[in-house]
Amino acid sequence: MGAAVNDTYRYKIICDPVHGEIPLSQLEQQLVDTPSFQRLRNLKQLGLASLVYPNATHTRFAHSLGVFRIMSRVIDLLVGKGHFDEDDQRVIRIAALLHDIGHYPYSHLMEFIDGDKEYRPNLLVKESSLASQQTERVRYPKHEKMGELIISQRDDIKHVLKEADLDPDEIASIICGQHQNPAYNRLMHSSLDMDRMDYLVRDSLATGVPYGKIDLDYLLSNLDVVTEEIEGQESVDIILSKKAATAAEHFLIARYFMHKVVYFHKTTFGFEALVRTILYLMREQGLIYKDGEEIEKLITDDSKFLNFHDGYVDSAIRKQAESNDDSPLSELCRLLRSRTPPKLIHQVAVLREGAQGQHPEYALFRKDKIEKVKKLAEKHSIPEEFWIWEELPKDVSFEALGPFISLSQVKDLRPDETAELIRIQQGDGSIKKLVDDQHSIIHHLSKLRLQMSRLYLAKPVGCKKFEEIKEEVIAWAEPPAE
Amino acid sequence: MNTARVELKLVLSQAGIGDIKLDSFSQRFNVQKRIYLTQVMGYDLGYRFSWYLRGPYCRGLTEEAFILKDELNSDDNEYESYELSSVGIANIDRAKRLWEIPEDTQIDNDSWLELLSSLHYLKHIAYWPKDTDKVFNSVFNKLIESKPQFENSKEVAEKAWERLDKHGLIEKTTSVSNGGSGE
Repeated sequence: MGAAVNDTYRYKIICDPVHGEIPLSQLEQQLVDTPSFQRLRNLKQLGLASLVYPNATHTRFAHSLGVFRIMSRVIDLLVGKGHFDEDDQRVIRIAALLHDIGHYPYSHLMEFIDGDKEYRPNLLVKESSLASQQTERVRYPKHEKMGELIISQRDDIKHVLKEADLDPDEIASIICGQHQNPAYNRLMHSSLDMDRMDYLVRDSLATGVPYGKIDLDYLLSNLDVVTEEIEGQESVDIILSKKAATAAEHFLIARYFMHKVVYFHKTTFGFEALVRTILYLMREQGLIYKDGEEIEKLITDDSKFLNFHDGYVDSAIRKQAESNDDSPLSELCRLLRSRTPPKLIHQVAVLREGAQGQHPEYALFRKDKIEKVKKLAEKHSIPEEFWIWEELPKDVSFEALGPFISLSQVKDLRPDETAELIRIQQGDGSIKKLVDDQHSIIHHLSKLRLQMSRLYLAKPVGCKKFEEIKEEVIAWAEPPAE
Repeated sequence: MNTARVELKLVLSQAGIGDIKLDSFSQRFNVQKRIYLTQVMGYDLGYRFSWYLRGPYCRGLTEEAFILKDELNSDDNEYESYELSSVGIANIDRAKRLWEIPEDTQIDNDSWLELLSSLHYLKHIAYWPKDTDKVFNSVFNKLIESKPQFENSKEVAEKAWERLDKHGLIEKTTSVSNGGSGE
C-alpha cells in the first residue's frame, strides 16, 4: 500500500499490542525521548476506568504512538499517490505524534473542570445582586492549546524541532487545525478519525470488552485518496473502497457500544463525576492550579510541568483524604480513595431520532435540575456537593453529524460540516457518503442519538433512605397527571 | 439548558438571530460567522475555530446550536432568567456595525461575512511561515488560493479589510486566536 516505507522512518521500532510494529525516525525518537513527551506515560488514557476494569491502565503515551502509527500509514499512501511530498510527510507525522501532548491529568475531567459553572462575566442572573455569581477567572486552556504552548515554549521539544529545521509553530498549527493549508487540517480531523481508530482497539484490549475490536488493518488496507472539486476548490480526501464498507459500519457501531459499556459505564461515570466535583472544590479552595493563567505559566517550569500528570491530582486527593476535617471535600476524597462509588439514583437513557428533538422523559427529568437537587439536598440534609448530576456532554451518535441533524438535512450540509463523514468509493468510481447509502445500516442508525442523564448520590446512606430518595427522583421523569 | 447555551441564546438574539433556524446552510453559516466576529470584537464565548474549506468553522458551535434549538423547542426557557452585561451588549453591537454591509458595496450578506471572518482568520490565526508580511495583498492571495470565488472581488475584499482595520482588528491580535479544533 502506497510507497515503501523509507528506511529513514525505521530508525527505531516500538512493539505495540495493537499495531505490532511502530517504526520511528531518529527525529521522532528524539521527540519521544523528551521529558515533555515522557510525561504522557503518567497520564492514563481511560482515567478512572481501571477502578472497574483493572487492566485499563494503558497510557496516553501508548495511545499517542498508536495514532502516530495510523497516520504514518495514511500519509505513506498520500505520498505514494503524489498528493503530498516528503516535507509534508515529515511535518504531519510529527503533528500526529505530538497531537495529545497537551493533555491534562485525568484528561477531560480537569480540562473541563468548570462544566456548567464556567465563569461567564457577561452573563448575569436577572434581579440578582450577585452579578455572574462566579469569581473572576481565566478558564483552563483546552488541551490543544496546551499542546500548542508546550510545542512552542518548552525547550526540549523546541530544540529538537529547530535542530531539524522545523518550525514548532507550524506543528502546533496542524494539531489545532489552524494551518493555512486546509489539506493538513482535514487530515488531522478526517472522516477516518485516527484517534478513534486507535483508542477503540486499545481500550477494548485493555478492558477486556470486545466491542471495540474493529478490523483496523482491513480499514487501513482499503484506504484510497481522491481529489474532488468542492465549491470551486480542489480538495484531497481520504476514502474507503467499497469492499471495506462493512468494516466501516462496524467501526461506527463499535464506538456506540464502547460508549455504553466502558466510557459511560455507570460506575466509571460515577467515579469520574466524583473526581470532577472534587477537582472543582479543590480549585475553589486553592488546592490546585486556580486558573488558566497559572496553568499556562507552569509549562515552562520543569519542576511543575513534568509533575503535571495523574499523580498531581492523586497526591492532592490523598492529602485531603488524610486531613482530619469532616468537610464535604475531604469526605468525597476519602470515598474515592476507598473505592466507594457514587450510587446511581436514577438515569434516563434513550435512543431518539434526532429530528424529534429531546425525548420527553429525558426533557422532563432534567428540567429545572439545579432547583430540584437543591430541594432534595435540603430535605434530606445532605450537602449539595454529594449530589452529582451527569449528562453526556454531547449526544452520542452513530456518525459524525451534528446531534440533531436528521438524514433529511444531510443533502443541505456543506463540505465543512461533512468533512468527518466516511466516504466510500463505489464500483463505478463515484464517491458516496456512507450515511447516504440506504442499504447501509448506518443510514438508518445515524438518525438516532443516545441521550443520557444521570443523578448520583456520593454520600453513602442506608437502603431505606436511598429507596425513598430514588422514588422522589424517578417521579421527576413522569409526565404530570392530566 | 446549561449556561453555555443560555449565553449562546442571548448572544445570538442580540446579534440578530432571535429565532434560531438551522435548516439551511446559510442559517448555520450565519451563526458560525456572527459568533466568530462577535468573539474577535471582544466577547469570548469559548468557541475555537479551524480552517477547512469555508472556514473559519467550529463544529462544536453548530452542535451546541442544534442542542439549543432543541431545548427551546422543548419549552426550556431557562435563558429568560438571565441577561447580558452592558459590556457584552456593547461588544455585540460593535460586531453588528462590523458586519453591516457598506452602502456602496455589491455583495450578499453571506459572502460579506465570509470575507470579514476569513481575512481576519488568515491575518491573525492561521499559521504562516516566519517573517511573512501579512499585509492585505498577501492575505488576499492566500484567501483566493482556497476560496477562488473571491478572485474577482479584490475591491470588495479591500473594503472588508478597511472595515476590519477601522474596528482595530488588523493591527491587534485577538485573545481568542488560539486553542484548537473547537470541540
